[in-house]
Formats: sequence, C-alpha cells, structure tokens
Amino acid sequence: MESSRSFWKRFWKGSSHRRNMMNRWMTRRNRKEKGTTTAIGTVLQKEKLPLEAVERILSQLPLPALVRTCCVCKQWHALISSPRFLHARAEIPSVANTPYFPVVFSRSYGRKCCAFDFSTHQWQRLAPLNFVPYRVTYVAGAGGLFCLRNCFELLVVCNPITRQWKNLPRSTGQLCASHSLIHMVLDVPSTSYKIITISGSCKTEIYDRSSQKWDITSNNLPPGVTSIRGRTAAFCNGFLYCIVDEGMGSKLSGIIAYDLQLAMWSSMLIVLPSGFGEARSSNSLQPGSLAASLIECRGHVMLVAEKMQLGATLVSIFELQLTNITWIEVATLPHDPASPFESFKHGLRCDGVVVHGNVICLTSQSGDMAALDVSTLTWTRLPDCPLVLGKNADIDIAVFPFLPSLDAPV
Amino acid sequence: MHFQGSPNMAEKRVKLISSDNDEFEVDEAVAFESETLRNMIQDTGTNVPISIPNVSSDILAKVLEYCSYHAETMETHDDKPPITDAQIREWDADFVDVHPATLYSLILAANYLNIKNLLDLICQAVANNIRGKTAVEIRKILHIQDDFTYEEEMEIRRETKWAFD
Repeated sequence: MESSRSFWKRFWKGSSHRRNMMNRWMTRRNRKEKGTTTAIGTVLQKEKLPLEAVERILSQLPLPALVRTCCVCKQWHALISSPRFLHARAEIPSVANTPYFPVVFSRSYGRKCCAFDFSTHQWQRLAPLNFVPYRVTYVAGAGGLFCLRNCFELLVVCNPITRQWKNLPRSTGQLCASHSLIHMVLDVPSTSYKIITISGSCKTEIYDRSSQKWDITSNNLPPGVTSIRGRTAAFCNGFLYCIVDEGMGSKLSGIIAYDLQLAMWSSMLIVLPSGFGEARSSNSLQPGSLAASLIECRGHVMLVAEKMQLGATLVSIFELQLTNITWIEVATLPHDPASPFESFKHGLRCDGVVVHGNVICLTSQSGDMAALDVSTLTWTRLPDCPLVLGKNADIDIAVFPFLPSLDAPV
Repeated sequence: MHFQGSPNMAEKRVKLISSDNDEFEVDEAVAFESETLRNMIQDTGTNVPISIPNVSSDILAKVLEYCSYHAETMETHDDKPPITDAQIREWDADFVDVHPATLYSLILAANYLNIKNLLDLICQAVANNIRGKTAVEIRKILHIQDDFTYEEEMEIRRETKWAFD
C-alpha cells in the first residue's frame, strides 16, 4: 500500500484538481479494503465533530501519532499547538508519563534521533536535530529538552519536537569545555531548568533558566580530592553526586555530593565498592579507569560499575545506603559466554547508562543495550537500534529518559 | 420498535422518537444516563414522547443499549452477584468494536445527548482507530474537510517528517 502511494506521489504535482482526484481514488480504494464490516447510521456530511470530542480523541494519542494528525485540517493543527490543549494532555497519566529511553542520535549530517519505547518495546524515530546550526555534540538532557554544545563551546538548549532552540549566554568561568561534567536538572512545577557545569577541578557554575544567567558558586575542593572523573552524575534529593579521584597516584576513587541549595561540596568521600570502577595502573595496556556511572533510581543513588575478574569484565549495580554509608549489590549482569550480554565483556559505556522508573538501561562499548527491571531483577536485551546498525560508529547515546513535549520551553 | 430496558415494572417509562420516526420506550433510569434527556424529562415529564431529531434509529438503539447496560450495573440485586469492573470493561470493548463510521455517528449522538462516559469510551476507541492512519484516512473516517493548500500541507509535512518515518 505504501509503495503504490509513493508511486502516485510522483504524479502529484500540486494542482488541486489532480489532488482531489487522488484523494477520491484513495478513498474509493480504502473503502474496498475495508469491506469486512458495514457501517450503520446515516451521516450528515456537513456535521463537524464537536471540539470537545476532537480534544478528547487527540489527547489520547501518543506524541508521534499526534504530530502526524497536524496535517488533517487547520482546526486540528491549531489545537495541537495550543497551550490549553497541551496542558490538559499532560494531565492524562497514561499518555504523558511514559518517556522514551535511551536516546541515540547520529552526529553526522541529518542528526537523526531514535529512542526506545518500553511501552511498545520498539525503537521510535524522533525529530532530527538538523535545525540547530554548527557542529554539535550532545551533553545533557532532561524532560523534553536536549542540551548540546556547539563547536564554539557554547551550550545550546533545544526542544526537538517544537524545533525551538537557543544559545545560552557564555559562562564567565568557561566551564563548558569538553572535559567538564554538565548535568541538567528539571524543575517540574515551574517548567524551568538548571544546568550545572563542573570543571575537572570542581569549579562549579550553574545556569538558571528563571534568572537567565550563570552563577559561579563554589570552588573549594574537599581535602585530598584531585579531580572529578567522567561525565556522569546523579541528582537525588537536592544533591548532585559525582565520581572523583582522590590523591595523586594512590588513585582512591569515590563519590562526593554537591548541595545545590547551599552551593557547597560535602567533605565526605564515599569510597566505591572494592575493585569496581577503580583506576587502572599507569602501566596497564588500557589507561584510564574501569567504567563507573552514577544514576538516580527510585529516590536512591545507584552505581553501575565494572570490575576485572579473571580477565573478564563484570558489570554490577549497587545501591547507596545513606544511613550507614554502604553499597548494597542489587544485581550483576549475566556474563557467561552463552548469555545475550556477552558483548559487555569488552566494557561498559559510562555515558550509556540511563534509568527511568524501575528500568535501568546499560550500553556496551559495541552499542548493545541491556535493561534491568529493578522490581523483578530481570535482565532483557534490547533489540538493535536502527541507527546503530551496520558500520555506523558515528552515534551518540543520550543518557536520560526523553519525554517528547510540544510545550517544554527552551 | 420497542427497546427493552431492565424489566422493572415499577419504574416510569419514557418514550423517545428518533430522526426516522421510530419510537423507543425505555425506563426512566436508562434515559437518565443522558444529561440532555434528564433535563428534558425534568422539564416536561414522562407523558410526552421526546423527539431526538438528529439521531437515527440504529444509532439511538446502540446508545440505549449502552445506557441500559450501564444503568443496570448501577442496580443491586439480592439474587445476582454484582457486575465486576472487569466485566464492564469487556462489555465496553465489545460495544465499541464497530465500523469507524458508526463510531463517528456515536460521537455526535453521545455529544448531543450529553453522556460523558459514552463520549469518553468512543473517543478512546477512535483514538486507537486513527493511531496508525494517514491524514487522508482520518479525514474520511471523521468527515473532515481538508482546508489546507498544497503548499501549507507540504510545509507541515516537512516540519513533522520524522513522525512519518
């Protein structure tokens, strides 16, 4: 059916007569295909659907289907972009509260986007980011917004669905360089957001959308801590948790917390579970550290980290117990050679760990994805992402649950 | 044509006349599912037949089938177990399993008769129905006039191209 439609499109060159002919022909053909049930009720052709009914119908549609209905008629097009409708739609829990994740997008021309929809267990194509100028890389995201960094080291916030974007003012501390940790926190009631940037030496700057400016806050490092490691952080109960390395050479690794309210670092370092995420010795074949990533899951800080064991990589998930500062092991990725997660033995991508609700999703260095349902402790392998298929190494994996939104303001 | 509601003889009966002049007789409780009918009955009483000029017989029969089932679920009988929510959901799912054109007529009827639950049920069914359909198909099902120029439609299609992949 699709192929015959594209065949006809070639002859469809804009004359309204030809277009009407085509519509009539399509209608007739659709009628033929639908011959199974018969309609009852004589319909007055002139009678329009009441607006209330249209609103009820459209508010039940998932976002891609809703966007497709934009070109049905002018009334629908206007309704779909009206704030009143979008607000009412956001109140319907079954429609609004199921974000897509993880998000994958290609860096090459076109910047195609794709995200996994857990409700249908399928990859869903999202709006491409081709409207943002210059070369950009993905750095953070929250709700329906992406935060990108362009080649001039400026941060750009965009909503891919509404195609709105804006450059953030240049920060005074120039902390948006590629080695900084950048985290985006959404304030749901005010639809505002904060972007927290932390340089390798713990200098912190925060952009607040409501005041539209950057604030340099703190730069006093906890004693002994030399540098922030990696670009992963977890925001939990007003604290931003980051992984740090302590001491020159001794390479003790742990996590510290930044209090957003008081704009201060905690002085306590919580050491990582033994062997997990530790820095490799400098004479190792692979310099750097074993992967470790922090996430927030069900109100707890969790650590996804790898450990070398008998030459193979072991990936485990721990939950931080703040009452007695201990790590509780939640789950370990099955690692026997017959398991579908075999490719994880080559390592975990620190920036490929994402969580929403009960589901934690991990990405291997080769782009395979595994999901853990924390409530049942069952692992599943996600189907291959259509963007990752084939030779394509030119992809970014975005580490947050993306909630496509027609009204998230940049 | 007579429509049998619940066989409770103590109830008052209401006469309804469809657009093609068929007469329906239902219990007052069944008619009360509709806000519009409730207001009319409270104004004029049950003696005068109520004419519903913009709902045809087959659609009115379908609407009354919904009303009488849902009026029945409200009643409690000593000799019968109460109808569970799961049973109601199953019945509702069966009820909306009809041709899209029928759903369209039902929306208009439910809206005119002001039966909130029925309107919700059908709108949900229509949403499920149009989810995977093209704009041309949706216009046909819901009798919507295409009021875009070719250029306008192409512009919107260009902006929303991703959703069609």
